[in-house]
Amino acid sequence: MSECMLKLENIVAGYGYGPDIIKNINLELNKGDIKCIIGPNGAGKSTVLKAIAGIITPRNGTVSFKSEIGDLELSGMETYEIMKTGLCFIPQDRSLFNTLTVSENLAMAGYTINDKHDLRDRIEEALDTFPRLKERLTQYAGTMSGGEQQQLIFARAIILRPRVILIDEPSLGLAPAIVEQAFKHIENIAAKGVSILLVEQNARRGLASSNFGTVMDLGEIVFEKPASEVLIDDRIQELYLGKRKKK
Amino acid sequence: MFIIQTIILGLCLGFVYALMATGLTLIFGVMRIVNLAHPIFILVGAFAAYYLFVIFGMDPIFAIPLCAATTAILGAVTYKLVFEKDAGSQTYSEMTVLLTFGTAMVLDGTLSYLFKNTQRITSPPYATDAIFIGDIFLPTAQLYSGLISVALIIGLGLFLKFSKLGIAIRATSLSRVNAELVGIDVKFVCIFSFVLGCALAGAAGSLVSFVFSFFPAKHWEWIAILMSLVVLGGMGSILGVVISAAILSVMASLVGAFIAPAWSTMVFFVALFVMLLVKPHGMFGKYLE
Repeated sequence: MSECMLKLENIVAGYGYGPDIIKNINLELNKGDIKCIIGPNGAGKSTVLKAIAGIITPRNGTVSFKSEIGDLELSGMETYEIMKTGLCFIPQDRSLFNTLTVSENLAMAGYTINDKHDLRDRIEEALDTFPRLKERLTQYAGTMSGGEQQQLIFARAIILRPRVILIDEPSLGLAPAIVEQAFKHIENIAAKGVSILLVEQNARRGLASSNFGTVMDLGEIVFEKPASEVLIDDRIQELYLGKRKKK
Repeated sequence: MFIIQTIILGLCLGFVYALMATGLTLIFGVMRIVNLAHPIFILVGAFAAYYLFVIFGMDPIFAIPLCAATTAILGAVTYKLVFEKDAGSQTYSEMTVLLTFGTAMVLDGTLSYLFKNTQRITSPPYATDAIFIGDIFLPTAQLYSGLISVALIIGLGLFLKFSKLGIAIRATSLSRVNAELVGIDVKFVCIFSFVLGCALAGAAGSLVSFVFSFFPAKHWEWIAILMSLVVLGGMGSILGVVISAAILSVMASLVGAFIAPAWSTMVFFVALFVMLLVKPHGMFGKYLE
């Protein structure tokens, strides 16, 4: 058995005073795994990630995370505190600071690292992985192409050397070739032992890069299977295309 | 010659206005607080400078750190008492307009009670002096206050541009959520920028104390001018505020010199009016979309 990095138990969450969007979510993420959450619109996929990252506080349940300094209970912590523990969240809207330069964006990614030399080494390392960014250091992040912005996001993510990365819709708004690249980056990062929890609207593409698939509907997990077996499950058709009439 | 002199004097005054408005625009940019109490903090700084001068004979320029510290502490207390409780609220930005208005009223009343509504001005030796460069006549009060304002604004700019906390402040003003996602303690950054903004108000107050005569209700006049500068520059943009202050202040002194002094304040409001019609985001604005 490989190590369990992130474990959600009975998570319930919603926005403001509104109803519960996700109910009783139980989920485990092992070291080096890529797990992809799929499901129809409004199933609560993104909400799961937001609840883990502390952007919304879970109303019930626990999120245990195996950080470098031992097991941590994340629910109830502030987002910025969670980000210091080695968990990284890449939201849908890319989360770059558009009117800061690329190097300022990278420096901010290492905001929690106090050792200047260490930070410089890490930025060097990230730039070696994404050499394209080296030519762009003084450019505003918002003026780069979609693919370059995507690279900057992954570069920022690996600077913190996280153990778990949560990614919301990596393919959103990108050209097909860039989507391919994004998933390449995701696979490369996972190959280094980082666990990745992914939400993806493009179920086929998301699952192709993942080991496991989790299917959600109406705020609950319907089933979980190895990625290659998810799409051939009968229940998938019901979810996306509606129930089949009983013969 | 007369024109050049008018322009230089306008510029000096413009930089003082710019310093008065930078704190306001900084606080708006980072925290989305439209701080109507900002000018009264400037007044508190001015009163501090006045009494330091009258009682201890302290030069207002050297009193800048003390005045800034006074308003910084007052700002921190105000933040704790007035803003902190509702910081997470959905209608925070709208609410702060009322909260800061109330704060301004309270401080205005307190100042009037303590110091009475008489006109005051700090009078260090250079307040009434002047130097000549060729034929150009420069009152030292305006000259010094303008130069020191420029120095303080450049200092602030360097801090925001290069220091880690400065970049974090800019990052937070772009997006609070994204700032949290890289591990920035947004609450701390907010308090820090609020206190920094108030300290800038205090520093400006000390300079203002020997340039303008002031009394406790003076801040209502200032808030109108400062808001016009902030909107014109683009809410939250410090560079924008400096440029709009410089341009408008020069225009105002030209109007004052060649038409009539009574019309000079009009420049600020006409500019605000035109800007809101033509380009409501302001020159460098990115927030009001």
